[in-house]
Amino acid sequence: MRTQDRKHNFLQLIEVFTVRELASRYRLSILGPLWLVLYPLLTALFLNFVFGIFLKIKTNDIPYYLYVFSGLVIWNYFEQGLRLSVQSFVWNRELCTKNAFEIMTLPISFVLSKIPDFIVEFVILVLLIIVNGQTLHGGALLVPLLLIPLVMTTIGIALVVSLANAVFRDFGKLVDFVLMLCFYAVPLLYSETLIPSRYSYILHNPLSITVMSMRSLVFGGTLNLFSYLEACLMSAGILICGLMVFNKHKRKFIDLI
Amino acid sequence: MKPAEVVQVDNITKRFYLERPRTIKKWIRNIFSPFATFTVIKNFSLSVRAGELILITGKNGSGKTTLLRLIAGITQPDRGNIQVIGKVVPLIELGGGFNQDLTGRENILINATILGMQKREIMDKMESILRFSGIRKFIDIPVKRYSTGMVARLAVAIAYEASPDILLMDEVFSVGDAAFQKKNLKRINDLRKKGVAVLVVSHYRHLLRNIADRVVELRKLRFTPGAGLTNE
Repeated sequence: MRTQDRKHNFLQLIEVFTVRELASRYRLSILGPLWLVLYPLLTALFLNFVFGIFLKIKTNDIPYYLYVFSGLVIWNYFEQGLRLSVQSFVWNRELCTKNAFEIMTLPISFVLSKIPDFIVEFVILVLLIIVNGQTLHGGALLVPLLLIPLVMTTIGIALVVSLANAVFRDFGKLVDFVLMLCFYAVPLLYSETLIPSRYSYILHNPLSITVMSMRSLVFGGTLNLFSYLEACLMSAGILICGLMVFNKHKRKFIDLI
Repeated sequence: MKPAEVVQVDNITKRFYLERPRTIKKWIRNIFSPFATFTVIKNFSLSVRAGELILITGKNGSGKTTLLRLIAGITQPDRGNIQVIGKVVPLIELGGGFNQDLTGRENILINATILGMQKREIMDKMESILRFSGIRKFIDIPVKRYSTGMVARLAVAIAYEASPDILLMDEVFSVGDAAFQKKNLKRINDLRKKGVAVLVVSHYRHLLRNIADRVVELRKLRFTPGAGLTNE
């Protein structure tokens, strides 16, 4: 294939796999796309009780469930995209071992297939803010920008763990465990100001930065450009590392899958 | 002048990984190596010219499918080289890549994309795919409701339309009725006339022996756990 055809085919593969994933996800469920709305909403309500009402975490006059929900929009994308793509080669073993195509497109498509979820959750967030009588800042229009570091980070990690998990299922377990830890390490349930300054280095990761940027955009209307660029740079690094690891091992991988 | 060589398999050897049980105890015994290897193909060479029909036979486990997967570039040889000129279309497991919950039409789009076809091309050829597979009535029904024969017919129909230069077919003749097999043979012959090289793996020698240019029989390498390999 010519380079141009190869590139075209790569994009078309990503497109058909993403559509396939979206189509088969809700086709056999009764509630269908309603799950898109129910899942984040119920999570936010539940967390509101535990951390907002029982533990009374301070969030500067923003209702706690809104506070949590804004972070969950980011977190859910990362968590669900990663969980889904970790299984991409396990579920598509036959496809990969009997057909010649760029297998990298599978985990990438699985991660991208969560973008509609992100959009729906963001729209719910906006509606909740309006219903609550909070001021919605124009900065909310910049939220799609946050998808750039978020998607790059998720794809970069997904490439490596999906490969590893197909050979050693231990990696799936490891991902579950690390995700659980991250859920608490990323300032989702609490404000980053609660972290003592000597531990503040923990915030220097694309995920924490996008969560914080989301909040400052939606509730304050500002974006810390320096932090945002830092997140973009780091996520680009993660993506490049992921691609390099994947390309190094993909040939041998087919025999081990 | 003879037609150009399109496939050149040069003295290849292919090993496979077997899996040893993965328990901690076993792991400590063979640290960092949960895989044993097993040679399937050893020092094998083959060259195929445009328009040739080659029948590949051999016992179960002699490496027939592996050879096709190597030529298709799905997996790489451990030693030796494979050179291929033109577009390879592998038809290795009939419908193995289909998504069971999606309809036949949706699967055509996915499968044809995997075979390197562009969308416009797929739409243009939809009609001939439907005609050849003969499942027009059921094309908008999930593939899981298809019979084995319907799945196979759909997969074969897509591969024929993917404009191959080299067509690799694995056990295409083990499914379908006599009429379908006749249709297949006719199609294969048409493709050959256009200069497509066809490699067919089949146990059904009688069907192809008369029309094949060559018959390649693969020998099985014997595997004894723990010991090395011996040629049968």
